[in-house]
Formats: sequence, structure tokens, C-alpha cells
Amino acid sequence: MKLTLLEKFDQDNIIMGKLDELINWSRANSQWYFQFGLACCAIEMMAAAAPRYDLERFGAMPRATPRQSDVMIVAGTVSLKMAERVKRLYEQMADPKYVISMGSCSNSGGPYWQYGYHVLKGVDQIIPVDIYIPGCPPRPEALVQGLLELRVKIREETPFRKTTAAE
Amino acid sequence: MNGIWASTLDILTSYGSMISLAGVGIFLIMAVNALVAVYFERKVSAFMQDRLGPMEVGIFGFKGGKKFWGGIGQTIADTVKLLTKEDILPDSADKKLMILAPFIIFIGAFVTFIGVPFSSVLLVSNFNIGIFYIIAMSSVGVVGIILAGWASNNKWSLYGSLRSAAQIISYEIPAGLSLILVVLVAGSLNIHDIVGWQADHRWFIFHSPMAFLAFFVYFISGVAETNRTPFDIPEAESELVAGWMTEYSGFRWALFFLSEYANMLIVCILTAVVFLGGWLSPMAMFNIFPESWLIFDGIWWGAFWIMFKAIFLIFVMMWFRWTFPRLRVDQLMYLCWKVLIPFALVNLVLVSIWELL
Amino acid sequence: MSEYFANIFYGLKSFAEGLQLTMRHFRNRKDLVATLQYPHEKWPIEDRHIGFPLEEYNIIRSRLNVDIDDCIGCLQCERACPVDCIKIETIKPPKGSDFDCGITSNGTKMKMLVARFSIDMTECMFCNLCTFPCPEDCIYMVGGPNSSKHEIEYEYASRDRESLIFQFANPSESDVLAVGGENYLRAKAGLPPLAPEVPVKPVETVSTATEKPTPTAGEPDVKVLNGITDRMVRATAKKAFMAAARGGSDLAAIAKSIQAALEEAGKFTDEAKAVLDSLAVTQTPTPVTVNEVSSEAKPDIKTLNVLEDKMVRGMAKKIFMAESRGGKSASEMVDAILAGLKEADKLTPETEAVVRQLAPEVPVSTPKPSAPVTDFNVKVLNGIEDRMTRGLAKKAFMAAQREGKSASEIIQTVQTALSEADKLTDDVKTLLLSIGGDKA
Repeated sequence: MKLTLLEKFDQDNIIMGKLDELINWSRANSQWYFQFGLACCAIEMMAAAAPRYDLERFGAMPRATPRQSDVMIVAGTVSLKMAERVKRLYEQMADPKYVISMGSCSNSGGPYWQYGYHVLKGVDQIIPVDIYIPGCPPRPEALVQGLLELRVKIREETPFRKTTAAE
Repeated sequence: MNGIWASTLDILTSYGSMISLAGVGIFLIMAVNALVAVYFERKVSAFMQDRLGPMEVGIFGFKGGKKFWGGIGQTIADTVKLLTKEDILPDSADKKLMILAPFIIFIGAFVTFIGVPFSSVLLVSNFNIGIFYIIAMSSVGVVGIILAGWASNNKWSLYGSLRSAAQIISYEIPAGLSLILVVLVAGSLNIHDIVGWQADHRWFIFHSPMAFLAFFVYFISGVAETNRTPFDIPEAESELVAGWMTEYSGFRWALFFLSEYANMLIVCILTAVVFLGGWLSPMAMFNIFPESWLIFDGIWWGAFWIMFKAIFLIFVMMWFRWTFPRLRVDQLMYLCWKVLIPFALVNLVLVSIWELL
Repeated sequence: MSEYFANIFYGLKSFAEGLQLTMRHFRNRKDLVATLQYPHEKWPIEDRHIGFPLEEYNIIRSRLNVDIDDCIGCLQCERACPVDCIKIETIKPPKGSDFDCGITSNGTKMKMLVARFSIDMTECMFCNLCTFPCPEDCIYMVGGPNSSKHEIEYEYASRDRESLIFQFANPSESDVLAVGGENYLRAKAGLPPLAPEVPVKPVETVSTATEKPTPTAGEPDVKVLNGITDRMVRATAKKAFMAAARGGSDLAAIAKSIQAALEEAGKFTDEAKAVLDSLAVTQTPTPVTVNEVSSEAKPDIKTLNVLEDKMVRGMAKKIFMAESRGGKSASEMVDAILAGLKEADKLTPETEAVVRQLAPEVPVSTPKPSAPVTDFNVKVLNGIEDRMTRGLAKKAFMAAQREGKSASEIIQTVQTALSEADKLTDDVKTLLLSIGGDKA
């Protein structure tokens, strides 16, 4: 069956494939993180940005405002009071946006999962999380590895093509 | 009928091609400057903080260096990413003004480049009032900043933009006064005349101790004009979340960023031209060598020397950024009105006395 | 004025010093750069020093790992975990089974099959407290002093949360079935458990259980006290009510004791008085209705109220409601409740007898007033006021009854037990004598 040019573009072809790769490459290599450090994991995030384990080597520049950042690293315990603000800041971020949940407390409530009446049991109850980094707190190397894992995940996206190799 | 159309077409093509060539050229210069300067800044800041800057991003696999200077594709990745970001215009913000603000700042920087020379012949236009034009046009950016802060509908943005406006307007005075000192001695506002004076006598910075001081006053005011640390209260992170740029994302913010680096380049080139001899080589510093020995002068050499001096000054600006803590707003204003302006005025008086002697 | 110039001079001096410092760092970057380029270079994690030799205690802060072949299922690590992130389920092979659970690497014979050992890494706080009590050293933090067992791993980020719940035990299905864990597998699959075969031991308490007072419309009901709005008052009143009701008092005596308790606590409000008056007025026992109600074949959940133990009672009632919603008949209900209780290991003969009363084979036609009041069951001991004494006495009573002693022997046993515990006061003695005196 003869396809129109537009339909041909929708399928896998080299132009779209290469364009996908370019966009994914640029997004993956320039993840500006919104430093949302709430508790002890924030110290490890700062340590990851410090000279010893430098996050800027991967192009991750810290930005203070959610509007200009790509990835929100939720580091620390999310209390119920803060949860509303977390949601609001997530909505203020510009697409395409990603979330890394760092540490036990934001993965699932952490040590407070059973009796913590004031803790949100996992930040993925309010925002969609892409990468979970376990640890209490995770070492800076673990955070860096989580960021690398996020880059791998971004590389698998297909912003232009409707069909993906994975599907 | 044919004649009119033909002549308008003629004018359009000749002027149009010149204008578009100049425009494209200036835009290219601004873009390349932003790319290189951002990479350079991240690297310089990293080395001053005992770490390595961007290291992992390369162009087509070529990273640029294993030990220190890797990651040369970083700014390209940043730029492409910023182009593909979502364009957010907040609901309660003033949309027209918000769209307009980055363009005004960009236009301010763009138009200033018309009077800025890159060599004795590589310049868009040789105004008779060169210096005056540059100072005037670089002030257009303030309007854009105020609009950006107001249109964001965010009180922190408004604070940041008004502080920035106050800062830029205040620091234009010592800058202007220092430049007037140079104009006083050289006798003309034209840039060619100023560099010509320097070629005939010596670099301005060695003209008199007052001119030496004027160089410092002008440079510090220039740093303050471009909202760089230590004067970056308007865009400081811990102060005002990103100041007047808070609500901007994606490419609009990239325009702000581009304009900031373009302003930096303008200030540095102007300093180099006015105080450091412009397109003259270091051999012409004291005008001690005869003409035939000046082999490092010429059109293309001139461009090289200007860029060399400007880049050195940009490095000094970055050096300032990562050395000094931020000045508070009242300290900033104190510095301008109570230290730099009296010094500039006294300087002016003293240099006129010097000239009379 | 001089201060002004001094400030400027000082400013310039610090300006120059600062610039020198950063320039020094910039120029000496070959020596001073401290970055570890992480994915290309990794440094070892430093060990923790807590004062013990490292070879004896496996302290390092990385990730937990379990050698499941060494686990004897002692549940010490589960109990030690301060955040309850370790969940272990073990199945013990029934008596007489010849299933070989295995032997650990330390030579200890394993007695249980560990069917589930899950550690939720998103809840764990890596405090190492679970590694100390393990008698077999099978749970440990990887790396460091334990590098010989498992190499170090501290970066294991994942894209979804489920893969961070580590299931260390995966017994094969045949093994689970061999130790008699069909109900475990059925529970995992979401199926209801099978009814086990329960040997019914004949006990004397069966007949007496049928006359246990069932709180129908004619009996005093604690729910009347719900009219009191103040929580503290209501609670005090209900406590007094239950204490009095257990002693078998009638309505007036109950009301009196409630009043006494409330006055003692200083909480006898008018509202409470009104409720107590209504209690005395409306509730009158009608023997006729007792007959009718108790002779119906419809199972009543209130028959389960006799069960003393809260957990057992709750469980039985839950199953009752579930079955009645499903529209099962009385005997099926009884089977289901018995099966549920057996699985929870809470089925005693007395409990079973109570449950069986739900579907009585013979219609209960003997109402309470015409039955001999002084029947010998544990309820006679309800006269003892002190909780501890009462508990001890009842325990001894049940133990003796189970052994099949006669009535006087039972009383004797109770007496000895109480005197051993130093709780045989005079009124207790008189009570026991009165009970024993009535019996032959």
C-alpha cells in the first residue's frame, strides 16, 4: 500500500530516528536540576555537587527556580505540609520534566512508613517519579548513578516518532 | 513607474544586503560568544573551586580532553535543550509584556554592537559619536528588565527587576564620567580618533595616574552594569530565586542569558578599545618603536588583539564572580554614589589640570 | 573622613587577597582538583569503626543481603528491625513429617522452611541492627568486611518501586506443599484456605455452654450506656457494667455498681443518672422470649460473645460475617470459622465448642431461669474481683478441667495455684469454698 509522505515520516526512518537521537542527546546531557533538598538527603545532594563528586561534569547545573530546570531531585522527607508545595512546584516546571526520588523517605516514607502520621508515604503518591534511588541517605555516587540511569531512560524516548522500537 | 521600482529595488538590495549581512554577522558573534563564554565560565569556575567542570559531553564523540578540558559539546546540548523546552506563560502574567521583554533586552545588546569595533575596518558603522552611542544604546536594556519583572506577576521578580534597574542606572554615571575623561584627553567621541590618539601617544591606561584610576572605575561600573557578581543581587539564587528571570523558561530565558553575555562582551571590548589600545599590539604600548617595527599590527592582527584583550577582560570578570561574595543592595548603592562617583568627579578635575600642564 | 578612606583601602586590600587566592587555585589545578570522575573511577567505602574488631561484626553501610540457605527462620532480624521493613514467613513441617529442611553452613539443623523473606529497601534505613542478632550470620551488609560473600553494591537505583522490594526466599512449590503449606500458597493466590480436619474432643463444658447468657432483648445491654455523651463518663460506666455483668449480677445490682463507680470517680452527672434510670426501667428479663430466641436454628453472632480472648472473638466474628454475607448455612459457617481459627493457631476445645453452638444439632429448649444456676463452669470464678487473681484462678481451672479432674480436685488445684502465687486472700478462699461446697 502506498503511504503518503507524512505517514512515512510517522514510521521509523532515518531522519526521524536521527532527530530523535539529537533531541534525546541534548536533553540527557543537559539536565539542569532543581535542588529540592528537604532533609538529610539534601546534604548528600550538596556533597554530590561539591568538588569531590562533581555533578556538573554531566552538565547538571543547579538552578534555583523550577521554571528553568529539567529534573527535580526530591531529596528528603516529604511531610504532608510540604506535599502541597511539592505538587505546585512540579506543576511549575516546564516540560519535558523528570523526577528523581532520592532516599528512603521520598521513595516510600522510609523509616516513617508505619507510624509517621505527618509523612507522605512516598512522593510518588503525588507526582510521577522516574528514578528511585534507595539509601538512607544514598551516597553521592549513588545519586550520580541515578542521574546516569535517568540519562539512559531519556535516551530511550521517542519524541518524534509514534512507533518505538521498544513497543 | 519602472524607474521608481527599479531604484527602490536597487536601494533595497544594496542596503538590504548590507543590513542583513551586518545583522547576521552580529547575531553570529553574539551566539558564538555565548556558547564559548558559557563553556569557559563553567570551566573557570570549576577550576577555581577545585573541581572539573563539564567533562562528559562531546561533539560526535570527541570530548576534547581527558584531564581538564573535556566536555566541549556542553553548550550545544544546553542550547538545543532550551529550544525544545515548553514555553510557559503564567496565567496571571501579562502575556504581551512578557513576550516583549526578552526582545527588548536582546535588541538593546544587538543595536549596541553596531558601534562596537572589532578591528580598524571590521565594524558595522563608524559613528562620529561612537562612544556616546554605545553608552546610550546599552541603557535600552533596562527597560526590558523592568518589563520582565513587572510582567511576571511575581513579587520577587519585581523586587529583582527594580533593584537591577536602580543598579544599572546608578552605575552608568561613574562609567560615563570615566569615559568622559578619555574623551576629554583625546578630544573626540569617535572611536577611530581615540585609538589613533593611543597610537600616537601611548595606551590610555598609562597616560596619567588618573586615567589608571579611571580604568578601574570604568571596569567596576561595567561589571555592575551587566549584573555580574559581586553585583548580582537581581539574579541571585539565595536572595530572590532567580530574580527577574524567575518566570521565564526555555528559549526566552536563553535570550536573556545571551544578552547578558553579549553585554559582557560589549563592556570588555569597550574597555579594551578605550583604555588598552584597541587594535594596537602591545608593542605600540608606549609608542617607542618606529612604524616599521610594528609588524603585529594590521587589519587581521587588529581583530586578534581586540579579541585577545576582550577575552582577557572577560576572564577577569569571571574571576571576580568566583572570588567575591555578593554585595548587599545598600552596600552596592553606597559603593556607587559615595565612592565611585566622587572619585570619578575628582578624577575628571585632576585630569583637566594634568592636561593643562 | 579617615574612616572612609580606611574602608576603601581595606576594601582594596581584601580585593587583592581574594583574587590571589582564586588565581592560586586556578593555576594549581593539576594538584588541587579533587574530583573523582565517578563512573570511571571508584573509591572504596570507608569502614565504620564502632569499637569492635571488624572481622567479628559486619559493619559497613551499603546494602543488605541474605544468604537464604543459611536462614533458620528465627525471626530475630525481623524483631530487631526498628522500622519493620523485614517480613518473614516460615512454615513448620507438621509433626511426624520427614521433610528435610536442610542444614546451614555453620552446621545448624534447620527446622523450618522459610517461605518468604522480603526486605523493602525503600523502607530500610541501613542501621545494621538486624545484622547483629542473626545466629547464623546470614544477613549482612555487602562489601567491606563481607566482600568474600558478596561484593560491594551501593548504587542500585531503579525505575520502579517494586524492584526495590527484594525477595530473598523463593522456595519451590513442591517444597512448600511438602511441609504442609497449602494454605500459604492458597493465601498467596488469593484463595480462601481449606478447612482443616479438627478432632473434636468431648468436654463437659459443651452442655453448659449452651446456657451461657446470650444478650438478647431481655438482658441488660451495655449499649444502653451509649446515651452518655461524655467519653470518660461513658467509659467508666461501661467498665463497671462489664465487671458487674461478669459477676452475674442482675439489673438493679448492675445499676448500683455503676452508680458507685461513677460517684467514686466524681463523674456522676445528671445525664448519667438519667441513663441509669432508663436502664433499670426498660430492661426486664422475659423468660419467654429467651426460649423462643434460643430455640431458633438461625445462627446468631452474639453466641460468639462468650469467647474470652479478644483476638479469637474478633477473628471468629469476622469469618461469621463474611460467611453470612455469602449466604452460607449454619454448619458451613461453623466449618469456616473453625478452619480460620485453626490456621491462626487459636483453636482450643473450648473455643470450638462455643463455635459449634452456632449450629446446634439439638434445639436449645432449656431457658436460663429453669436451668440449674449453679452449674460448674469457669464462670463461677467471676466472683473474684481482682483481675490478676481471677486470671490465675481461671487458668488453673481450665488446666485442671482439661486434664479431666473432678470438681473438687479442680477447686483444690485452683487453691494451690493461688496460694503459690500468694494471692489466696480470705474472700477468695470463702468463694472457692462456697463453690466447692456446692459440688459433690
